[in-house]
Amino acid sequence: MEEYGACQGLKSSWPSGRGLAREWVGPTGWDRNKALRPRGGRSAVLQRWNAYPSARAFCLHPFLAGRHFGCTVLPKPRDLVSRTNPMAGSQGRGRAAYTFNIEAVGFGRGEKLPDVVLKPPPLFPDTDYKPVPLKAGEGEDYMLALKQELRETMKRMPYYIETPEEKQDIERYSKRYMKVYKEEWIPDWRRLPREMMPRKKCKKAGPKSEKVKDMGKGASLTNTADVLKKIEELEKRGDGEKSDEENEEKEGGKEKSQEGDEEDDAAAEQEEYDEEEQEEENDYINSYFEDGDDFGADSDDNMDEATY
Amino acid sequence: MTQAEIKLCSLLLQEHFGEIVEKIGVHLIRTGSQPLRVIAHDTGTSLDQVKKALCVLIQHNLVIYQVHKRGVVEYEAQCSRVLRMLRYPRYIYTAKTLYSDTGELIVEELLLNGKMTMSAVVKKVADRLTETMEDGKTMDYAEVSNTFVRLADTHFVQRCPWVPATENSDPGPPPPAPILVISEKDMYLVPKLSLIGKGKRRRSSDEDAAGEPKAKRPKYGTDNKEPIPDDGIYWQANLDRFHQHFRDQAIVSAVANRMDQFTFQTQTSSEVVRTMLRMSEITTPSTDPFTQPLSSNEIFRSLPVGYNISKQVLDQYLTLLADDPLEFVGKSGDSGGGMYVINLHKALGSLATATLESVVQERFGSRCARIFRLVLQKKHLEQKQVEDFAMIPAKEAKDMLYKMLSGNFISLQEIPKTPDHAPSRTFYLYTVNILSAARMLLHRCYKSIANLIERRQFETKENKRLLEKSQRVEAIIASMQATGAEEVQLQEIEEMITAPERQQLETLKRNVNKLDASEIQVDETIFLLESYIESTMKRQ
Repeated sequence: MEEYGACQGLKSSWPSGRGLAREWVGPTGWDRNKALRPRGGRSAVLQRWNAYPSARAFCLHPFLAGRHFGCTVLPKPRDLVSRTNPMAGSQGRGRAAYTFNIEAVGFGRGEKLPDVVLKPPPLFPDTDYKPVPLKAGEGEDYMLALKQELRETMKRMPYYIETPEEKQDIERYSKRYMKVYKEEWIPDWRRLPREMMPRKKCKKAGPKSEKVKDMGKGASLTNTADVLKKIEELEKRGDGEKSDEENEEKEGGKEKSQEGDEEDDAAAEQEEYDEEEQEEENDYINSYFEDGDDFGADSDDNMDEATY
Repeated sequence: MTQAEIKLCSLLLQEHFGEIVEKIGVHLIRTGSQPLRVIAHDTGTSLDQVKKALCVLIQHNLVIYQVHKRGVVEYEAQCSRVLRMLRYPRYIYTAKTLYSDTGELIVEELLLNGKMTMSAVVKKVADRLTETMEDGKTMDYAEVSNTFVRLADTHFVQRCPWVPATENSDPGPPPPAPILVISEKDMYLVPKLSLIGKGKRRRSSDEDAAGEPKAKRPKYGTDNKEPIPDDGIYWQANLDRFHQHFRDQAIVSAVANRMDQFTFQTQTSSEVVRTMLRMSEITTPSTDPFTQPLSSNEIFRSLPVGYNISKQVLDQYLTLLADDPLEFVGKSGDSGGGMYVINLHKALGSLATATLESVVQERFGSRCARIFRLVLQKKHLEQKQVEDFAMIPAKEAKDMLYKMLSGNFISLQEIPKTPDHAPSRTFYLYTVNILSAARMLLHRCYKSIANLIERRQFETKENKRLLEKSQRVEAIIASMQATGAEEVQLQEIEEMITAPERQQLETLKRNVNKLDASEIQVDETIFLLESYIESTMKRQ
């Protein structure tokens, strides 16, 4: 049973207890009997109190203790009061009743009030009035098309960081051809706090530098994707030695172009970051089409494969 | 930040930047300013990913950083800026109406990338425009630069705060984070660049590559190995200026709706108001309650050419506008033929009130709307008085009043007659508190947009398989057409999508369009309410 004294700040001055009416004392000459006599019996009282939630904003806290507008503490309905507190008095006393002029809020005396609502409002209520149709016009149509286009474009920008998917048990064939080509983005490190720059990772620095010097060995490739890619490339070339040379060339070319790309002439950190970035984000780290030399051959290969 | 706003921010970030950025962004919005390690620890993501996400967010001006003592850098998210992402289509469309396609693409690039250097913007826009042009034509950089300069002059784009150029004789270690400065006068200063060139078409079978290595995966700035001339000078879209423009548009259309239906000459009063607003665009900061006073002579001189109304007619219009009970225009003096100001704050208030009235009408009916307008007009009314003035039977009036009270459009004010607040001796008056009702409605708008986005995502997810299938079929058809296939084969492929599936796709498309259009329009309401609330808070 909760206490009644929940009117904020007034708890001390309020008699705590269950028998509401019994503990009220009114030196102002308030006629207890007249006010407390419920009109219409218990069920009517219950109805009235549940009728309009906002009407209950007038709490029944006694006059002396001051009023708290908007207090939502209700007196317990008569039934519960009498059941749990046998000393609450007999019929006619201790009933919840209105202590204010009910006319002021607009109900007539003894009027039939709306039914009690005993459950939360429905999730999708019926509306009496249907919504107004949407604005239609050239501007609105254009903005709509623009919005949908922007949504698609954003997904392809380098700022959209995809969650790394879990490795699927079967490599789907179509996945290779549905990959989105993403541009690479390097922020301007001069504008960002220094801690934003990715640190040199010691364990990767070793194999990375080895890879730079000597692709052919293929040692310590930690990334599975790299391995798969290498196999693909080797298959495509169909010629192991040539692929090594090409890869080394490509690696060198990639380095040069990366250094050219950067706006910042910082060091190994930068290059490693790019390599890491590319490795993590896509499989095309050793780009097919870095230099002009192999471009023609590659594109021909691609074309052959595409047409069936 | 309310829960509704946070939910909406989360949905927007997820749609535009992915899950990881969303997680970090929402965490920052919820918890305020935090350093890097704490973010990583609290969200349970790896430091590397947190760094990437923060880089993206900072790039898009959604997160700012601050250096605190002992070198700790704390990151803070700007919730209101995240909510602006809803308005991107409107910004871009406005730029299109003002500066045509070039301006549109410039603003689009700036919004999509957060901040960019001028040369990068010009190059990208020129490339994009070239692709849409006919064969053989290219877009010149100079034209794009001109548009860019015009945008900067009218303050639609502005420079981002930059790293101050310090001397090399700075002692000690470099600071943990650069302190970015910005000065008012340099904010719209366009660097002197001589960008010469033309847009390049990006086609796979281009023969005139002129020896440039064509990277199949275009890299950021791959072509130029030369230093960028305006390195370090970044530009961003100035959203406040766009908001000012929207506000002006709203005021002008309100005046047009109110006054211009009764005049012979179409839209004269709205033209006058538009002229006045245009004259005070740059001079008055957008948060002022009034514009600078403008004399009638000045207005006459600044009217658009071809508007041949005489001075007396203009004066009459101005008097009419000043006497209007809506009080958009006020007279502040008599020199120069009469000094007139536009009451921006009052105008926004009227617009917000009109929105509220319209919502009440559509939600509860026109009789409720009548009661609402009555209470608005009379400020405080008792129950009995409402029934009398509105001429609505007591029972219905009661019902309607309580419905609106439950919906928090109307509130009760109690006025005690005696010091002991006896309910039988207290007046209970109904009143409308516009500010709180506006706030309530704004909160509801955020919730509705969140619901709309969720529903759209749900619909798309439900039909994901079908969408993918249709995409594949389209890709196949496109590739077959490129290699020259017969009509019969194409038809066969098209029949891969059955008729009921086509129906389903149509329905999906219609629903998604409807949801998207609703989002855009709810955003318009949000703009009005937010402007009003902001203007009111500034005055207090």
